[in-house]
Amino acid sequence: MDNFLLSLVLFLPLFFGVVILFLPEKESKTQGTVALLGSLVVFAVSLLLYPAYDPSSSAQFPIFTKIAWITPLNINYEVGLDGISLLMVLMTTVIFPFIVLTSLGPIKERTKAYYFLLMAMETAVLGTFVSLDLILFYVFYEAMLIPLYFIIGIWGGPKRVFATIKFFLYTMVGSMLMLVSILSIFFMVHSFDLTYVQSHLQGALVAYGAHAGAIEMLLFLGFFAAFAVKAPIFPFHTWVPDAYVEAPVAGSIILIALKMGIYGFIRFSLPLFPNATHVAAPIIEILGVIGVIYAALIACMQTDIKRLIAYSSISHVGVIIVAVFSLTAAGISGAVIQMVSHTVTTGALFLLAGLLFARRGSYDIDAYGGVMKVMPVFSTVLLIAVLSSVAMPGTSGFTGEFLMLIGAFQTYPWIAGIATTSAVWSVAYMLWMYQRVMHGKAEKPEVLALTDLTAAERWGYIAPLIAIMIAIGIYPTPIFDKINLPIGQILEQDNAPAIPPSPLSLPIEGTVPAKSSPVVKTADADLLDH
Amino acid sequence: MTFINTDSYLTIAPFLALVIAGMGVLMLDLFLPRDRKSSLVFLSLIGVAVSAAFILGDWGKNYIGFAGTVAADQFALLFQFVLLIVTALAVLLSERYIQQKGINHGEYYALILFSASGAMLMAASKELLLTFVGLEILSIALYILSGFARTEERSEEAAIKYFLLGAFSSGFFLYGIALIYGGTGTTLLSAIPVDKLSNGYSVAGIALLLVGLCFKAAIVPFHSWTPDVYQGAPTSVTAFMSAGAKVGAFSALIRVLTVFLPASLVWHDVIWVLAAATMIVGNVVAVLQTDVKRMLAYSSIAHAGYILVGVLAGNTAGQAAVLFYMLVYTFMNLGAFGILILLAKTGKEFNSVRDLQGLAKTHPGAAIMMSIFMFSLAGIPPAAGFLGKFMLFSAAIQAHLYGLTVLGLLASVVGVFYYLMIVVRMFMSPAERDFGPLARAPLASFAVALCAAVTVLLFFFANPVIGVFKQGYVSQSSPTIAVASAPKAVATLDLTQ
Amino acid sequence: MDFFIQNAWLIPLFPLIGFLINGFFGSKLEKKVSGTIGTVAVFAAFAWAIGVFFEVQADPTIHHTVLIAPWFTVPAAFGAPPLTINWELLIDPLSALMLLIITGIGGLIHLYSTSYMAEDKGYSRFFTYLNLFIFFMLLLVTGNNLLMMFVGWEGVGLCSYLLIGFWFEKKSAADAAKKAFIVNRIGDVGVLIAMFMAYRYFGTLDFYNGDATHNDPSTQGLLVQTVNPYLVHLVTSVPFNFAVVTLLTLMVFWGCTGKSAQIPLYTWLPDAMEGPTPVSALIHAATMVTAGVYLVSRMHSIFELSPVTMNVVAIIGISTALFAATIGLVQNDIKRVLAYSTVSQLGYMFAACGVGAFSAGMFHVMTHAFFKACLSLGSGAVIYAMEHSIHHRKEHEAAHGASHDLNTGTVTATADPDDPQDMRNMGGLKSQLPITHATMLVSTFAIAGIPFFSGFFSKDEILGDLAGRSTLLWLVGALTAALTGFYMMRLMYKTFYGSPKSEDAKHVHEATPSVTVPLTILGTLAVIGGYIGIPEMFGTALPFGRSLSHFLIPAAGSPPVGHAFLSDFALLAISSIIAITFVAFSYYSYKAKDGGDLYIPAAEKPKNFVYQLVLNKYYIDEVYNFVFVAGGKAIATFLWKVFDVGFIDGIVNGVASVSRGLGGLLRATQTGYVRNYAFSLLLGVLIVVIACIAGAHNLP
Repeated sequence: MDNFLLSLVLFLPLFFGVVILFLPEKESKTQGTVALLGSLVVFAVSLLLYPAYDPSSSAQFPIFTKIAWITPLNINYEVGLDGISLLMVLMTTVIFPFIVLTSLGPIKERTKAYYFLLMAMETAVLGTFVSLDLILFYVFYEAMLIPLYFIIGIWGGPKRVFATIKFFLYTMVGSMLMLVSILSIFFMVHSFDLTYVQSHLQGALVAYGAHAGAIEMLLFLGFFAAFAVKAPIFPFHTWVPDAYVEAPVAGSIILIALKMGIYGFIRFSLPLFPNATHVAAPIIEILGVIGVIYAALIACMQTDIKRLIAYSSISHVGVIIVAVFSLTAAGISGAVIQMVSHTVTTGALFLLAGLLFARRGSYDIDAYGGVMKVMPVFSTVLLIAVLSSVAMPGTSGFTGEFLMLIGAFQTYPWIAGIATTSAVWSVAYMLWMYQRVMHGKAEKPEVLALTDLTAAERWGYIAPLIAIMIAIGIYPTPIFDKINLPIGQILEQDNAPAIPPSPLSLPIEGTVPAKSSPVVKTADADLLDH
Repeated sequence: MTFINTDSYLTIAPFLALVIAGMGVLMLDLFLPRDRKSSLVFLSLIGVAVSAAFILGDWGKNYIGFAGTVAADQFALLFQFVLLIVTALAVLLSERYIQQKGINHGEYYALILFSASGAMLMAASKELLLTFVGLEILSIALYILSGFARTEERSEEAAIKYFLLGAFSSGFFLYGIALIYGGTGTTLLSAIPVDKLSNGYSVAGIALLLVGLCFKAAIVPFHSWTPDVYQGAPTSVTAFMSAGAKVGAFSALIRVLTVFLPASLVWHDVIWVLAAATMIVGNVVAVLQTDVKRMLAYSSIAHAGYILVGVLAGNTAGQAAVLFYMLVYTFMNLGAFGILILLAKTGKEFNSVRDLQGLAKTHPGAAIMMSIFMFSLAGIPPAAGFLGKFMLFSAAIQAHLYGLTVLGLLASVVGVFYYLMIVVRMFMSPAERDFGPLARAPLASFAVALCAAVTVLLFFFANPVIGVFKQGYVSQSSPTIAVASAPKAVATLDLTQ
Repeated sequence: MDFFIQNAWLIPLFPLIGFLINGFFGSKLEKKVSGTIGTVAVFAAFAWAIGVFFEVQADPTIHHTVLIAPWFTVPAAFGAPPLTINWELLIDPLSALMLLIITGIGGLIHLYSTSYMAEDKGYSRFFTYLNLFIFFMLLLVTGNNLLMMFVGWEGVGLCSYLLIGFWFEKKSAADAAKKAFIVNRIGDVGVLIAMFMAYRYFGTLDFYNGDATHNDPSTQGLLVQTVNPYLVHLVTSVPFNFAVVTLLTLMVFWGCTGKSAQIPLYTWLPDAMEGPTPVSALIHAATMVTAGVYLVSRMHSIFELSPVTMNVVAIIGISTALFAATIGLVQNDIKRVLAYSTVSQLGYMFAACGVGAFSAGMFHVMTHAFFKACLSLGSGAVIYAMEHSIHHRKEHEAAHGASHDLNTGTVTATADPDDPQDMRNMGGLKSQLPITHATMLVSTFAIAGIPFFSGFFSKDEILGDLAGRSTLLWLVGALTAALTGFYMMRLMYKTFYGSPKSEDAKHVHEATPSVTVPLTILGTLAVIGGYIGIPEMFGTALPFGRSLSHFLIPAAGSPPVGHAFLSDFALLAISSIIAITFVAFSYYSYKAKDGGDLYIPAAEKPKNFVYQLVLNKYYIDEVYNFVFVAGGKAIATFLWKVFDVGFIDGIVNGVASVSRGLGGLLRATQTGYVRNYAFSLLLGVLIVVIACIAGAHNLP
């Protein structure tokens, strides 16, 4: 039953998309409504997966379906769910209704195609999170590009074509190399089945003797290329600003929700290539931390709200990378939480920017100023989103960042320390932006003409997202219940090196050993001295 | 044993059917007035159907006829089957197009059927001279077809170029056969003694055979005729030869090379370089094209490169992959040309990339199908083109052609660019001219729609098809070539397999 | 029987409810209502806090923990200990005391605000923020783990941001708010890293987890009661461990310098005076800024493990005290004087912590809360009065009513006549504002350390402990005390005595009771507040000798046993004399000049280098701006324009254009002439043949 449920969630969006195709061309309202209801239904159904998934079960993927697809090529339709993918699925299904919502207003022409592509997109995204067959994963991973290519290219901003093609080619290059890795793996273990590969790849590599390490590294790099572009990791990030800026608001939110890059690292890179991961980790850590500072600094200088958010998101992803490759439980659970938080938070930021754009027709920061006076409610919710983005305690952002950094600190104290300064950078660019938009005297006539959020916008768009941010901020336990064990398993497959015990750790029965008592005397003496 | 037994007739039956149909067309043509040639279409299709029936009849029987010179093994039959599809589609696409071009002479269909039969002979032939005969039947028909639009200068030019260069390369091919004979004392592939392959005559012979076939398959550096001919020839002809000639050439190439496997050291690296060069040149130059037909010409060069990779892999998987790719390529490529044919007006063809601007606004259906073909050619799922590439390159990886695979895949990323540009023009740029309503062309429209449908469905329901095509390999091929060309370290891999 | 303690979660809950009500419905409620809600919420918390306090006092040695809810748990993995964080309150003498201060003074200031903000549009917004602040502040002092403390820590920072920027249309206010937030964040990075280290090396973030049977920090929490001898052994014997503990504590202290405005991160506090006066009183004088002192005392057992850190704390503290005092000498903006005096007083508190006298530090936190809150509110009352009379004057001269907006904090040689905060416009307000004057006067005595006012006892205890550690510290402390007396009296004189310096100063009026009542209460506390901690030497006479420090011992450790170069009594005598002398000196010298300029006449001031230097706060802000802000921007622009767009994208586009160029070349070979084609074909043939023959040589 649950197994069926998973496939249902996976293809329900596509189904609604097809339904939309059969709606009359002119009825853009109806199409939008169907899309909205559809995405809501998908969300409702996907919620059933939460209770259905039982982390304590012995199987790595308790919810699991395998159907033969192309037997001559050993390609199967194989999907499964563990805590991490569960969270990713829920994240996707929860954000898509908002993506549809933001489209209702601004998208005016060729709505039918638009909503179809949107729903197809959701299926593709969900597919990447649940596929357990390497080729199936690759197929979703690639297929995802087509709807997005159209969404950016048709409904995007002035430089949309450039942006969409840049984005497409960047991603293609990466995924092509991943394909090579996948094929090579196949001819070592003769299977695309993730769980099977997990258990047999290392054995197959042994046969290469001295070259095993090098070959594993090459395979790792193939995947890395794909995920590094998608994530994105510095210096493979330059498609992001263009894509985020040129895409319609909905597109930007989708791009934010595309977390399969980081997810891929956790799901594939770590368990499949433990040794290569451990070798490459330090370098990737450094790339990650460079990204954090680098993107944050650039974000400070942006005058376009969307571009600023884009760079800020690159910076946040940097922290996530640092956390993932710290290979610690805390770091990875933090990363998983942050993926959700970052999607919701940055999604909300884009959404609010969109609302502002809808009223004023500009993403230019200097076009605003003193908005707080005319849009008090808006300014409040924007502030909350900003705070979550700068990891204010009590918001989801903090839960993520804190865990990521405390995890990273266990294995890479210095890098984690540097990454921690993002707390300052983020505040610098975010608050500066906030001040320039919100504070000051409202003098510009266009600004004075702005109207505050409507009740629908308040309770329909914003309230749920804010609620999620706060909820994850103050009570994330339900999430941890589901992800703790899977992350433990992944770390085992990765055979993460044990962190050296703290030199300060005391015997549990810490009562002073008798022999050391003389020493202690002097020690006490020192203490009392000052 | 009698020299000619019934098996022999059965081995040649499939293309014999086409030849007869072609003659039928020629005769019937005499009795038909200028404006009612459509019935020829059906006659040709009947010929195709009969031929297909023969193929089904021969299926699995592995007939060998004419003293082992002609084989009807799965490999041949499958290639011939693909060729039949090419022929059928080409005929369907041509019907209205040649009418409005005012070149709807009966010979047209006959020539298509003949050249198809020639290609089918190449696939079936196990004797070099016979292969040459097939090659010539195929080519000569094509020469005429490319010049079929007599009134058009370009068409004339294309024909003459194609003919001159074709003749040139045929010469090399023939000389190659001679050398092989000199070197090994036979032209019967199955009879060529391995130990004789290494002598100078044979080596030179192998080289020249390669040249001849590579020319037909439009492999760099023997591709220079392709753009001009593809652009000049009537679009329907271009559509036919883009797939038909390739199928014939590659089927022969595989047959020949599998025989020369033991001497793979002679040609392996050469083919490696040719494949690499073809994939790179094809894709890189295509980016700069402004004429869709020319662009597709270069893209077809690039695809020839991918296919050559599959050939080079030399293993059964590779040969099956080549076959399957041929099938997929037929549908997506003829589909793409089909769209151009549908858009074509009397006296005016919309062939430049700019012409397609805003097509999605005026003819969404056509635009969507065109983008299906483009994405499929680009090898992006969910489209059959992806599976084809996937099989080719997985075969290559199996043969440890890692470098070539990476090169090919990266080149194909360049390819993605120009396919996407077409889609950009259609969907993301304002309409510049209005195409007016599409002329009623039920057959052509049907053919295009069929191509689109198959291109997509073949991805989701590839299972049975690939199952069948897996059988399409030349029996004596042995995967040991992998080891022959594999680096030392990897050799141990086979132990683990 | 600890009914109040077990339900201590109510204390933060009250203001939270107030926050939610005002936050969601404030705009619809009428001012009176939302003001009342806000105030009542805090007083309710205060009432409960009293109950808690007495229950704690019954037996200060017990540490009560109140579990509210689990927060999150990351299981132990690969050598990393489990990370379990709960929403849990820690009620012990330290937090009990802080609870009283926060809710008590908070309540009074809410009351004061009801009338002070009466005419402001954002009335309900103000109370929303204020309640939220109280909530976070309570979390800060009651949290039983560093993380929960940090929630409060950042939360109060946020509220401070919101309240400083309360008048967001004023650029200076918005800037100050942003500055405060960012500078605090810079400090918070330290606290974060401290937490990481605590988890890595002590395996826990808890202050206390009730399990006293183990001495292992990971099971007992960081707040190790009697410093575990074995831990001391580990730290003192292994250099690495010592380095770890030192770094950890330094990181915590780095955070404190941000929150409590110490060198080098003090610069935000003076600007923070852009906020409404009640805010300055509550957040930037009485409560939030003392959070650093609280945190240090809370973690004293760890701090005491590293003498190095202790010395750093002491030195930073005392130098901040002196440094800020000097700046306070010359400021003309009444609130800025108070701001710098706050910085200076905080310096004292840290100095006390630095020498191990944590309870003395906390004692001063308390007394300082009384008199500084009183002073700030008093200055508020003055400004309020001035504003009104300026406002009236403006209405009269409506003819040429080009009204400049308030530009506080700008350094001008001569006063801007419309600036209600510039003391050079005041003088002689004593008669019109009797209550304000009286309460501020006693508070001035208290802060100056005039004997038997509250400040006297706390400051004396600190000076005593400083002397016990090193004579130099004591000397600087004493000097600072002298300066404090001087500039505080200067403030008093310029404001209240002498002749009015402007027309406006003549027509000011005392405010409503809701302003004067809190003033009176705080004034009273400023007088008597010190008696709960007076030295033993009087203690014998009175029932409670140093009872505060005794009360705090379980939480803040016992005061250090130092050996001063003089007897406690002598020190006490000296500091009293210093205080009295300088207050008197200041009073009479200004009396002589009728509150005008001493020493340097106004005309000279722009030329006088030293004066300008001090007046401009030693140009520290300018330096920071140049180095960090301007420098940062330059680097960022470079990275963006040159590196990101230029270099990285350049490479990407380079690849593209290279392939285009290649394509162009190859296309050029496509001449269209058959002869060329044939030639290329022939060339190809030759290559292939040669290559094949070459390959043939490899054949076996």
